[in-house]
Amino acid sequence: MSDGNGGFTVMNGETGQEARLAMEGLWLTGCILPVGARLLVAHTFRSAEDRPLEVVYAFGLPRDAALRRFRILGEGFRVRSELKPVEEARRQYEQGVTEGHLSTLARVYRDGRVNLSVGNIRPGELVKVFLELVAGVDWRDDGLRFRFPFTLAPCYHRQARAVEIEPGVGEMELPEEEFGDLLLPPYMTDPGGLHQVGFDLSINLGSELATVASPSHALRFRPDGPCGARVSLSRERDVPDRDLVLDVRARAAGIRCCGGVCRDHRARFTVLVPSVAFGRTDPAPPRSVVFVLDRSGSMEGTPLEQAKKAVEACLGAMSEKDRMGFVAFDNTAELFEPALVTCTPANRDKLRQHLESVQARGGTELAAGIQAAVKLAGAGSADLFVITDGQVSATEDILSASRAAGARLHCLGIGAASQDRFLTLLARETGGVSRFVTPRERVDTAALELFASAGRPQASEVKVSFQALPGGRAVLPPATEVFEGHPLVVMGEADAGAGGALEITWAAGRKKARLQVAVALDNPHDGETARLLQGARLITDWESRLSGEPAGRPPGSRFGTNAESSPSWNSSAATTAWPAGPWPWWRWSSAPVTMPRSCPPPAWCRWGCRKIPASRATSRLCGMIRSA
Amino acid sequence: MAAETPSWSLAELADRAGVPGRTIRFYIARGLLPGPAKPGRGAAYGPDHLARLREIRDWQSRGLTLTEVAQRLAGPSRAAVPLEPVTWWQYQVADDVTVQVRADASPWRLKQIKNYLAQMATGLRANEERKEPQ
Repeated sequence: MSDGNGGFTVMNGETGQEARLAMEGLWLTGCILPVGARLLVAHTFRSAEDRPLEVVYAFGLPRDAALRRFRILGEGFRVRSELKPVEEARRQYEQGVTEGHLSTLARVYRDGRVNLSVGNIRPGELVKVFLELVAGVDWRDDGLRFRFPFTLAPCYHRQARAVEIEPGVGEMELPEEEFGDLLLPPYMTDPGGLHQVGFDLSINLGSELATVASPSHALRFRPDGPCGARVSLSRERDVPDRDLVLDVRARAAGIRCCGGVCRDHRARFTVLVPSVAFGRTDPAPPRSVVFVLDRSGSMEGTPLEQAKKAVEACLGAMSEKDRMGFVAFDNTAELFEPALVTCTPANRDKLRQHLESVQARGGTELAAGIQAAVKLAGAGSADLFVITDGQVSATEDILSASRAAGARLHCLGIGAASQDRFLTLLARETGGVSRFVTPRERVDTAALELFASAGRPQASEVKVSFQALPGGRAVLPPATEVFEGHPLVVMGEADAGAGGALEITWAAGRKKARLQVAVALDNPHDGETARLLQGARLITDWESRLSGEPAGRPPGSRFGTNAESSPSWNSSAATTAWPAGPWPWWRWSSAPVTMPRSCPPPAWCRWGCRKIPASRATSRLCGMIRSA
Repeated sequence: MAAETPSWSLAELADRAGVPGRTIRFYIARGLLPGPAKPGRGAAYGPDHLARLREIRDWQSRGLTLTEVAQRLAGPSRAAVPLEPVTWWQYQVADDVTVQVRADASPWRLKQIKNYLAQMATGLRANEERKEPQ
């Protein structure tokens, strides 16, 4: 892996001179709390051009995340963003650019993709944009897993147009009717020479911290009291070719509560009840599981090998009374057997052999795979075990098809850029759970842990009562089933005051079990965090039910207290009051991203990409990347 | 059509074409669309820009990527005309090795290729010298 010294440099397509990257770095800071993360992402832009520069950077949101606001800092100015309806924000940005002010626009599009546009960076100027995000985490009984996308994987869409404009550089365009004016970055197979990334995060688990580890990055760890720590990148800089993943573990799996009174005099809280608190239901009943394996082109190499290993590990964990099915999909879905079969040793061997013949190719028609699996499982509650990198676009359509299918989906995300945001939604919205593994991790452990959940909730008919909490109610409906290793999460609000208790009931065999959980509302900062995360969840859930461009979408006011976060029908915009013109003309640049580490180099080729021979037309690309 | 003098601002052009201003600037930077007739704050656009924008949209709707659109706009595709003469430079790297390089490659590319050819020549020479004493 190149360190940034060799490989590619950025050339100005018009002059043939080496140009400096307009985006120099991305630095992630913030705090990871037991209920979620409050993040500040700093983007540094610098223009080496002789004319004003407009730069567009594209990135993907983490799970359950919302863009809150941003701040721009430059030589002699400091501006804050304002949240406005898309059209208004766009008008403000355009006006600012035309009049010569430094203008910035951040807009969320489908699939949680964001375009950050910075216009009129003056020659030689250094501009820093600080984006404020709230993001969800992958909750575990004894801690959490945090993931931040440092790269934006190209995602399959049947109408996408993809080309390899020269060896190692690809471009992708998505249909405008669905994605509006979203601009995707140029994709590079080599991360050398791209912007640098780094992070410095504080962690506060609220209970005694056992370990913090990362399967993706080398960490520098500094303890900060018994419950907290700071982690940062152990080297000076890194390349953006994989997501950041942090595993935070507490000494013991206990009930965690974050709550407090917010500025609007209402209290918000999030309570996590570990699955172990619900006891064990034995003996385990037989189950029917259909494996849904993504064998699309983007899975080629390590991801597909990992996916196969995951299926094999699960096969070993099935009993002879269980029934199984297997669907591999790319553009079409292919069945192992036309009906579910019992897990006899012979059938398992047959499936193992079948598995060997599965090869990566074609597009990612995930909805087709899910529909085929549901049909195979027949009526009733089917459990689907989906193994995919989730590199698909228009995820809202897949979500609505999956909800309608009526099956419970458990998702195992594979690869350095598995779409965590989407796979989390896919599992949650269908009543299942999700996990992901990075290319360096053992896939069998994660697969088995997740597989233990398939068809076997640890507690069902879970109900939460707020009677012992004055003014208490759930902001988001809590899950009705609890799965092993995954805590029950209750996000709610209550009257300002001393708090109270939640009463949780569930079916334990033929009897009802009961648990009282105290809710403390004594920390205003926790309350504010809980409120922001609830807002982000509401927006994410609501957005997952929409599709297409925002014409006719509801105004932001729908979320009342949460309207300060940015859903796709709102944008944040900011302009300086800096009279900068009159400018002769501007240059334009987009910050390229690299292909994620685990992706086969030209993944886009397998989705029907055309190769375009180099010609004068391509060399006119601004800020084009050339190998040096 | 071109007789009319360009007088629209970028916002007006954007409204008429139904294409966001940011996208129009992106097209201009990529060479798909000519820049404004008048530079600076009073940048003006005319019917030619509008016609070109519609042409780009039309090609896009037929499945062409912007890079392909740019190639079409640049004139008849060189790749599609097989009979067009192409000049090649021939470099003798060693007594028994010659390499051909397209003469119309861009200056930076030629510089890069020459650099690698020099490396190759040095490598081959070093190999020869190692062999000779044996």
